[in-house]
Amino acid sequence: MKRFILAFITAYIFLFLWGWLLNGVLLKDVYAQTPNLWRTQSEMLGFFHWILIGQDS
Amino acid sequence: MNWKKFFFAFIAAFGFIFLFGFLWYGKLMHGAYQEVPALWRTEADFGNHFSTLVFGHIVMAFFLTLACARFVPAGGAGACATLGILAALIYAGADLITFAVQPLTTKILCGGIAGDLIQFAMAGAIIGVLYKSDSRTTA
Repeated sequence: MKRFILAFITAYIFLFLWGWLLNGVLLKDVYAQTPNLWRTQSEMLGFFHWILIGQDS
Repeated sequence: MNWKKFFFAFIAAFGFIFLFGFLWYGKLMHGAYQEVPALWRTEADFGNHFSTLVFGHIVMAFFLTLACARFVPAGGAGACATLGILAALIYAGADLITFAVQPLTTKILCGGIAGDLIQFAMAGAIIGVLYKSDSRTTA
């Protein structure tokens, strides 16, 4: 169980950092080309807990 | 790996996933998707991308069959359905993140997660039943 928790936390941190780097930095300009498809920055902050929960999977 | 059994399981999984997707997402959730029409392609544009939709179903069915054959070599509906549910729960995480960044409704979010769980659990069970006899012949 201890190893499971450590593996889970490590995977969670990696997925979060990778998701931020790929989608939040590298692909940011690509996403910006279709602003009507996305929530606004301020609205996304209100849904940030869903991102945190979603990374758990 | 028995490729003949694998192929039949894959075809059956593909057929089920495609049919279920049509009924669940195309019919049952059609009204929910219509609440945010700006997010989706038009009917005509969607028709132009239909091959990509078919290919997406092939990818899902193929790799779920491969995962079942690789990680549940004994086969069986229950074990493969469990693997399917785990795959669907990974999808659920992606669904939650999509909900956070796209203006989807909670109805679409909940319907999507429920659909994924049913779809992958049943597809896994189908694969498990069809692939079960393979392990008996090769063991």
